[in-house]
Amino acid sequence: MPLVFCENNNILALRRAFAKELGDTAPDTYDQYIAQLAKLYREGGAEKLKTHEVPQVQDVQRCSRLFPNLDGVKFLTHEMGCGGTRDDARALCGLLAGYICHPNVAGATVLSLGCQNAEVSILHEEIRKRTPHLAKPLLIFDQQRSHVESAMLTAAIRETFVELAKADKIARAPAPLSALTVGLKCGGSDGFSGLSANPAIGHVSDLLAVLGGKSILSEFPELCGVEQNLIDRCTSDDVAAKFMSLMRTYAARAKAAGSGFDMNPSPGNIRDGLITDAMKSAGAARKGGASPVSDVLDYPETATKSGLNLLCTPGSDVEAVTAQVGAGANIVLFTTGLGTPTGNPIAPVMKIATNTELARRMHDIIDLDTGGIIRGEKTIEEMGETLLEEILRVAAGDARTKAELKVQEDFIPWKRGVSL
Amino acid sequence: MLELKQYQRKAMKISPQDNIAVALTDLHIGEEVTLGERQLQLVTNVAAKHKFALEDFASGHEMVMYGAVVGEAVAPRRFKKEGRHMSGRRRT
Repeated sequence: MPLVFCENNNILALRRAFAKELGDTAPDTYDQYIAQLAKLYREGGAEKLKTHEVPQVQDVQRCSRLFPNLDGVKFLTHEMGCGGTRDDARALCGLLAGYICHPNVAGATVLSLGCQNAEVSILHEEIRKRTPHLAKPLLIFDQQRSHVESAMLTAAIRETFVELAKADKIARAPAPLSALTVGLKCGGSDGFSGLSANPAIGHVSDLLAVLGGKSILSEFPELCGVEQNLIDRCTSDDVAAKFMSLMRTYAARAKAAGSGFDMNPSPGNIRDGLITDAMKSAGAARKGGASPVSDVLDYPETATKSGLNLLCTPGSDVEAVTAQVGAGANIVLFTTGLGTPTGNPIAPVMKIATNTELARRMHDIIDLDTGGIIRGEKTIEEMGETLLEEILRVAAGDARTKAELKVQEDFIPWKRGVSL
Repeated sequence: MLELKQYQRKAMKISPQDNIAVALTDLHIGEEVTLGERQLQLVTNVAAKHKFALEDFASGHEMVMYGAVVGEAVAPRRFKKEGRHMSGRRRT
């Protein structure tokens, strides 16, 4: 991962280099298609192009099993680390520390330019906050302290390769459900989200709370209108006060930027029957089930208490999922009524359709269908139990999500401040 | 619109306190809808996923769904009739 966007190009060079031998490689269907179109154009001009059939898309080839115990080598890029506020630089280091300390991650290689706001020392501080003694390899390379680029990158590759071989000695082992943290997210919602998929994952969240696991509900702008219910569920006055303070600060910032929480719902939501912000929020909040709120976290804090955690993030899909995983989510449950392909580099994102029509039409990106609730074939509780079984299969490595098969690895850290 | 003809139920009232219900399939004017023991007749078309009134609404009257106030009614005339497609806005 890069500490600053200046290192993105080096990260991409590493990704290309590792992909061939060790990484998941996305299907080259489109490469082949472009090659065919280029050939047709050379032969017969633009007219022939219109009727050319699109080749069938293949599933991604699994990486060669040089390291059978590793699920993959992942490469993150982002647009932050300098040129913004110091708060944003620290928040970025906190998020990256969350990814480094994450139980799904065996080790990390970090590229730093040297002079950026997001300093290596801040990253170390943020790691110590989360894990006082990090028991995994952390390799940091600083370009301004090295010679030519290739010297730094070959060193990064060699040392990373050695650590990959060591990490491969760690085999998958059974873990209790109390070790599981699940992110709860909706995106591309429709008028059924609050009736089927959201309450179904809300039931999963309730089951996990009883079993000692953790769940994370975020998207604070989309909790506008249901604050009182969540405040009533907070386990202490301090937790409730933190929630109210974060909501107030966020709402004031939105207003100062010329927007506001009442800009929800979107035009697409309204056409689909979600006619007020509170109606959308009440449906969205069902993802959090009915359990007490154990803790409230500001971005990019990590969840430490079992039960339901509220994490302050935007409603924006990728920023919210990026933050939930940074807060420790091993798996993200993502409900959608309209369909979205999103995924995350280090945590499986299970996409759960609110209606069967979507699940059938976009079967290449949807993992599970909760339309049976709408038809009256299954209760919310039954559907939640089915989902929990699927979660366990994914957690055990027995099933892979559609996003993993597509190598869809979205990563967008939340930028709260202005650019300078 | 969605192909939801196979759905056995036409509409859903989520919480007992709710005064609006959700159409699970495209519903038409004059259609009879059963919600628990209650039967009502629609006075407008209601598209799938949209809401309709379970009582007569004055404009500005609270809309309750999921057992919570989710906005207020917007009525073209003074009253919204039971069984009419619901328009609403943020409660200020």
